[in-house]
Amino acid sequence: MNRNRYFLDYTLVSLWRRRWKNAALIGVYSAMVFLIASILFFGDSLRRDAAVILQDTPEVVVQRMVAGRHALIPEAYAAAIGQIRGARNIRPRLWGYYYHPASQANYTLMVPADFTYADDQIKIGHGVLRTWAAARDNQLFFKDSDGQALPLTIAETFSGETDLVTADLILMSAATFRRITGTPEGFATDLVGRVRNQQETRTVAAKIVEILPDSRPILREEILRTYDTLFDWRSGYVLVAVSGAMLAFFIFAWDKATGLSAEERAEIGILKGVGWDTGDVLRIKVYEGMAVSLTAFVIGVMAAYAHVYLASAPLFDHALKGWAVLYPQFHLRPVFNGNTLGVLFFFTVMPYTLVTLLPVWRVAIADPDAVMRQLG
Amino acid sequence: MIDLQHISKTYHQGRSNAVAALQPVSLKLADGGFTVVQGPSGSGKTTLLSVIGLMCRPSTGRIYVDGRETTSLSEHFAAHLRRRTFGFVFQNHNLIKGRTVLDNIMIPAYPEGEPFSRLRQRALALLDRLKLADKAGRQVTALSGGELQRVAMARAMINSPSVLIADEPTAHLDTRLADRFLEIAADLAADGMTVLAASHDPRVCNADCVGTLISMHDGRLLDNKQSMP
Ligand SMILES: Nc1ncnc2c1ncn2[C@@H]1O[C@H](COP(=O)(O)OP(=O)(O)OP(=O)(O)O)[C@@H](O)[C@H]1O
Ligand SMILES: [Mg+2]
Repeated sequence: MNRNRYFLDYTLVSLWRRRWKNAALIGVYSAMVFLIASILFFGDSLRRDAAVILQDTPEVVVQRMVAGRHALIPEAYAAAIGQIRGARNIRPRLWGYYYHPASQANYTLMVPADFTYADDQIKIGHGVLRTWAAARDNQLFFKDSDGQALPLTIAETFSGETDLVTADLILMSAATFRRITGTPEGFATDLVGRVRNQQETRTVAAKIVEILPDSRPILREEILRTYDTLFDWRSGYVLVAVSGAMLAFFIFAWDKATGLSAEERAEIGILKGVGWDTGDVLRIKVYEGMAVSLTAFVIGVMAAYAHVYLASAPLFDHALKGWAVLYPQFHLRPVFNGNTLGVLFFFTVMPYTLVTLLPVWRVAIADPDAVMRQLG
Repeated sequence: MIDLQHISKTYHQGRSNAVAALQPVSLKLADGGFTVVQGPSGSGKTTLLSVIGLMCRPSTGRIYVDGRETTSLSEHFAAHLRRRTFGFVFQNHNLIKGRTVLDNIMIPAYPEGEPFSRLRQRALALLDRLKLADKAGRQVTALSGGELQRVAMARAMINSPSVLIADEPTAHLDTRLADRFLEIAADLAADGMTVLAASHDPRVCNADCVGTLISMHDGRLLDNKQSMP
């Protein structure tokens, strides 16, 4: 429609006329969008990775608690739990962490159920080789629990389903694991198992505690819930809501500080005086606000995308991951989540548009007769 | 024909700082002709023009424009009528800064949405008529006082209104430019436009081309010198 073209044209001239103010505004605004979007994208990726990890998590993990601390569990417990109706495939697991002083890094040691290499061979994630100081000839030098050097040969490197899971992983035989960690025969780190009927998991868990009072069963559904709430708290809607409110407040304060200038008031008065109605005036101001906020939104989102997925979120390395030493080149895979963009849009573009429109609206609904008098 | 029936206007009505700017006023303005409202400062001239031009609503009374009651119109229709029927020349011109002369003139026509080439042609014709053709692309901040006023007049005429309302049109003009304004106003009145101006400038009030002189004092109308039948 022609009308709209005129209003758009009018808006463009206005934007151009205040181009420095608008550029500054877009700069501040897109920086905010960038930060919030980075956090959200990052959270999406972590959540996705966590979901992949948890797929392979057993339905029940049984730990032994001694004096309120996680302790080694006798392998004999597996047999006892196996007697419980509904519990299946109970087996001991060996895993732990290994601190390598020269690299100043912690690695995850694990004994897979189906380890096919020899005792002096290991399978590692690619993060290990990158960070392990003085790795030579495909060999890593460990120390066993007595302090003796123990060279292990890299037989294979993970192709890695998700980088997050396998980056710091070192797989080895049970014998080697016991040598390095000093875990005695007959003991395991924990037990894992399955439950035949999903509805029975809680009953089974209760039974385990009944017959083995020093054990603590952990259910996968609990882990899932913990992860979710963790990510929701860290990077989810709560954060967006808070940042959105901050953003709105920030811009509102900024806009108040610069105010609806006398010139802008005069302009609104003149437009109404020469026959524009309130809707027409609001329309050009909405266009103006949309142009600013959409530009900032697009710039901020694109910058955040590059930051998180192309540059691997350097700003958050230390803040959010916590495993920073191990993942210097940790690569987040892009997750496209329309929901995230929607939420972001809602909490950034909407408040700005409303907040900037409010003072305009207050001026625009007034009788234009002030334009007849001195306007300054 | 504009018919005011017992129009009054009180600013800040019902509050301690209420100002009765217009006492109940009744007045008929015939179509065509040049009418000037005169009176001392604060007598309510500007208020009267505002109320007639639908810039604000009167506190009491009714106004009929060509038989159509205007005081109870919605904001949207009031704006519509204001745009179609009235052209305004404000006391301090009130052109929009940062835009060209041509843009300023066309702005009142934007809500009409007519094809751009036609609108532009009309605007250029008006500029031509007011001897401003060479200023079309200029920024309004780069114009002299007399030029500004003629741009303001061109803007007032872009929607071909039937009534031209001018408040203190000669306040910032020297005698030569004031005469020029009167010339144009008389010209428009001769073309059938109703020209309504408020002024306490004797050059305007005593001009030969003024058909009707209305005197105001303290928001009231005094005896009018009618030279029209
Ligand atoms: N927005 C307003 N709020 C309160 N009082 C107002 C307002 N506008 C005008 N007035 C008052 O209304 C009265 C009439 O004002 P108006 O501007 O109509 O006078 P005027 O005859 O045009 O004066 P001048 O010759 O100085 O332009 C004055 O006392 C003025 O102070
Ligand atoms: Mg006045």
